[in-house]
Amino acid sequence: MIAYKFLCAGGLGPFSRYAWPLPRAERPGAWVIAAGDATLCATAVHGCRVADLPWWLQDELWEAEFDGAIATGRHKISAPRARLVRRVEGWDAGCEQRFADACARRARDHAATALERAGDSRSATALRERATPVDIVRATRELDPPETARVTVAMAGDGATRARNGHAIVAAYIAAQTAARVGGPDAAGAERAWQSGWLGSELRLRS
Amino acid sequence: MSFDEIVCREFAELATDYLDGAMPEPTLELVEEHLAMCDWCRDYLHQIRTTAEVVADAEDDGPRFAPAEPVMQQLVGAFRRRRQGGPPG
Repeated sequence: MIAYKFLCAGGLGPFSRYAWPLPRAERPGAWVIAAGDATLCATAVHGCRVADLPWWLQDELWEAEFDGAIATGRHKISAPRARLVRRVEGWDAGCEQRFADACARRARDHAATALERAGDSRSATALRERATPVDIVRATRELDPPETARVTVAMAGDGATRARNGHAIVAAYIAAQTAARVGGPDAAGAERAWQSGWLGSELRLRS
Repeated sequence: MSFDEIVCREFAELATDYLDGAMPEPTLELVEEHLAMCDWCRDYLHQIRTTAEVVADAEDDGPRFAPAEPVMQQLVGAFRRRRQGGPPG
């Protein structure tokens, strides 16, 4: 099965700090083999489907081949062994920033919806006109939202702050949380689906 | 989509289980989702992992920098006086 693996710079596992064998001369890296039963997470090799990507963003994205009995978690897969096939070159600091900015705008729109529901259309319009994280942060500080929209607006400001600082994974999380606040758990799921769709499309990944 | 998640305070309680590999799969996934986006908890995990490694080394090898005997006697004396409420000397 072809899936994906986020690693820290230099091909290091973000939690294990394991140095993954990298592909060389267009040949896949060596197989990384789990120590024991692959159904036990601690001894399996992990990766993610396109739909899982927003939860695991790190410096490097790799296409990887997972082999053996594939177990599926909430937001990841695991297998007895895997190897890196190729780096997804499109995932770099610029792409991460564009994704963070997009998530900030999504959170902004959810906050604007909350403002409209609270009867403050003027503030909603003013917020929607702001496009960059810096401007969104400024707008959320300038507004005096109705009480029922106050937290959602503050969350949008937090998301934009994180986007401005390049923390795409947190900006994505906040966008999903903001969606949930406005539309419930299904809206959060839809937000995560939008995020994985953005990544899949931008990076031309195999679903 | 589940909205189960853990927060930093919960991670602090689970960190040693995580390092021991003694965590059931659903909890492990929640912990790693949190770690993926929380710099503070990653730093905390790094600190306790380093501490555990240093302690394990010390248990294996004994102290690497044992003070000289006179220094040790002074330290022990000062410690005893302090426990007895006297001046450290």
